[in-house]
Amino acid sequence: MFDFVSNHKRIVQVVLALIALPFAFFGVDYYFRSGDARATDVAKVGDQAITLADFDQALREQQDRMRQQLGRNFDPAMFDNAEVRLSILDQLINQQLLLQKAQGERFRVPDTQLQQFIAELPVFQENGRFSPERYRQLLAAQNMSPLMFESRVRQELMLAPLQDPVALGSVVARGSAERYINLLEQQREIALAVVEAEPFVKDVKVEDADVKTFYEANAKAFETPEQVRFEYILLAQDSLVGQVALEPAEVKKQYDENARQYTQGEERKAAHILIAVKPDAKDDEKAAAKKKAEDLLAQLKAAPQRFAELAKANSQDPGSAPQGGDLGSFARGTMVKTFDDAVFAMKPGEIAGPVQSEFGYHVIRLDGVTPAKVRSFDEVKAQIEADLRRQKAAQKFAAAADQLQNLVYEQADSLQGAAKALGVEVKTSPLVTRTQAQAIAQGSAKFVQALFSPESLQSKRNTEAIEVGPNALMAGRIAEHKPAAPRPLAEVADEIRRQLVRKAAGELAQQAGREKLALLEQGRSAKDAGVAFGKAVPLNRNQAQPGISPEALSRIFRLAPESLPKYLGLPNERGGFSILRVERVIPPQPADAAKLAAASTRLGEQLGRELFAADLAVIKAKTDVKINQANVLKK
Amino acid sequence: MAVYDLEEQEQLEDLKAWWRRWGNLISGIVIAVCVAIVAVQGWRWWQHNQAEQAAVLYGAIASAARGNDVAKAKDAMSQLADRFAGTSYAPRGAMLLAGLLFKSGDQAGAKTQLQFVLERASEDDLKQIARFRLAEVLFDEKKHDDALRTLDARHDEPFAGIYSDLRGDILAAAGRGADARAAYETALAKLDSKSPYRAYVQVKLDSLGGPTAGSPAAAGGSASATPAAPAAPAAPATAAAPAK
Repeated sequence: MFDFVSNHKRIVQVVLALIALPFAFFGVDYYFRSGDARATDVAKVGDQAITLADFDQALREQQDRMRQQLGRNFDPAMFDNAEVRLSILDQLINQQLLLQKAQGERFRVPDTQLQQFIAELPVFQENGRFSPERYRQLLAAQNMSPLMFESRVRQELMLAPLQDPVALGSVVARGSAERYINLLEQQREIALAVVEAEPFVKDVKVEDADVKTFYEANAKAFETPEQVRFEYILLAQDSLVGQVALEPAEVKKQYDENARQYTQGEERKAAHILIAVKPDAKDDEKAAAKKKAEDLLAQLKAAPQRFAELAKANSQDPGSAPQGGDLGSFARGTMVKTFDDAVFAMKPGEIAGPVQSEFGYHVIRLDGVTPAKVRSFDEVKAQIEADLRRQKAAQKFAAAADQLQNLVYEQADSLQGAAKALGVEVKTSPLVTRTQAQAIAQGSAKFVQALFSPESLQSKRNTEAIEVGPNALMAGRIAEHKPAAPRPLAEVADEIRRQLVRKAAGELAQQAGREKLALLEQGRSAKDAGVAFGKAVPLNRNQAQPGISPEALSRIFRLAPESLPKYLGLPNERGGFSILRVERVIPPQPADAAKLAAASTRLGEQLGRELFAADLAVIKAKTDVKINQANVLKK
Repeated sequence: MAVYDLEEQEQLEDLKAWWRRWGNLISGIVIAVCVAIVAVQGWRWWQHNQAEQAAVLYGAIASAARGNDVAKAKDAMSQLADRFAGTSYAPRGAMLLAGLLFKSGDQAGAKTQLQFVLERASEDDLKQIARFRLAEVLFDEKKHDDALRTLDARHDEPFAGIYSDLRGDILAAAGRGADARAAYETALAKLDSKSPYRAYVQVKLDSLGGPTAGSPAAAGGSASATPAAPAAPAAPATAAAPAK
């Protein structure tokens, strides 16, 4: 056996290589991926699981977006809502469905497409051009490596062929666009008469017994709101800045030790012509590219003034070619290593190359050098002081925040200890409702929630220290709690009586209005019916106004045009009755070509969205989707 | 030592005999498996390569569609249809081009592209979308009966709402108000309850006149001043033509 192996070493190697081959292509997980649903999954789409971690991440991203939009009004509790959580899961499932479909259809994102897409994103551009430095900085700020980001973008781009043909390829018949304009911009002329409730007030009699019955039936509405008086301490980083003491020597030391930071580095301004060639290109392609670059260099040596012209014609750097190859000024280390080294070794005005980089061959012209500049101590002293103060305040705040957390917990029945230890003041609020308390807590809903929690209200223990703003913590303690209480009948009787009178008068007015409407419908003139219509005015579909509720509007526009003029009557928001005479339809001006095009684009987008939603539903119906509801709702 | 040699010798003989008997078969199987693996990998590589090239052409059509560049989109599509008609990119390129051609006033060209999708696409959902758009082109050409027949084709339930809506548009244009109403009502019943498009379908339905009693909005109308108070009985609102 062994000599078989030793005699046929070559064959064995080939066989081993072939066995290893599939792993290289499929990845090991293709063979070992578990097909079972696990307890840590929230859903399963086909044979792909959406894990609790995936879901939490999506939830967090959504929370971050909301926090950015809402600022202080953001309430994390809204994400406890089952509907919200399920809708986030739904998005994840849709994403997964599309991804599987895209993989099934073998969609690819070629590298060139990925590069172009990223380079064209405005966030990564500086002066209208892709800036690799900005790209790296922004990704670093998001804790993301370019690789991670690119694979995410690739995934998004992979889905585009599923969305775009459906969403963008809409066909809208001319008649449909005309009708869209005609229906949505059409006006209707109406005259309005209102039968007010006010004149009927004198006819209404409300007995004490009625008031009492109403009071008893609606006890909840006549409660004073729950109120509290609370003590609180606020620890804010900003207020610590003033407490920081600085030694002059410290400031000088900071300057000396960090001289580099106060030096503006050398910058160089350069232009280049790129003959692109991929690093993995064949040797003859590389040679051809190099040859082309050398030819260009030779031409430029003869006629340096043609640089811009040749760059425009030949450079394969889409960012700089239109500017005659100009790259602007940049600091050391901004560009690819070999390019960077070359530029920083050149003399102004020199044209050099070809320099090879991962992008291809560069012919470079150095246009200028801005030397490094050291800023004097006096120049930067104020800035250093401010920076140091801020740094120290931040350190102090971090330490104080920990201390505060501990102290409010350890001495749970008073804030005095914590306040004394941290040198802040205990403030006391007046008697306030929840809304007022939230205003005191800089708008933090979370603080109010903690303050009004049953434990806090009953035991009058300190709340935790809660973040009420960026670098601001607040802890509170209930000093007095006034639960919601019914107000005595005597106190609210007048208010109830007013309400009842208003309601009864309204009913009388509506009855009178209906009688008048009936007379009009029998063909009596407005004068006979005792109705005084205002001037007839044109009205748009969305022009609700006093006397004309949205519901009235929708009924006005629902009347068939050939049935006009026609009367409508309905109770209005002021408790009275509105009688409307709908005179006629006012068609919109005939649409010009631009308007028609805009309408058909809008309508096309709506149709595209509908079709895409329907398509997604079809895909979903064909896939086995299981949801583990318990995990979705678990916090 | 000799014994050991003998034993080893014997084993070797056994092995050789075994190999004489099975060697060819085993070699054959190993070679067949290797060839199969190589063939599968080659096929995969080829498909990958095709997909990559098709993706580039599709990308060109998509960006031409965004920039309204008909000539460029046509050019890329003809290459896509010639060389990669079997990929999933081809019908999608055709869908994009159809929309673009239609916008530029070339109904016939749009129909050709949509027809290409119907004939060549392997995905049923894509065909149903193409068919919907074909009906819209026919509607634009005022071929109402052809358009309605196109919409008669079988489609999946999620498409029922939007198909019925277009049917309503065509019937309304053909002057068949009652049928159009019925079609819009079906559309409202089938469209997703959260779809923002419903509002416009309702507007179209309303514009056709006819009975309004069935609509839930007609039942509202209490205008009680206090939310705490029990709601006033819903007022039956009335409408009638004034005799002049």
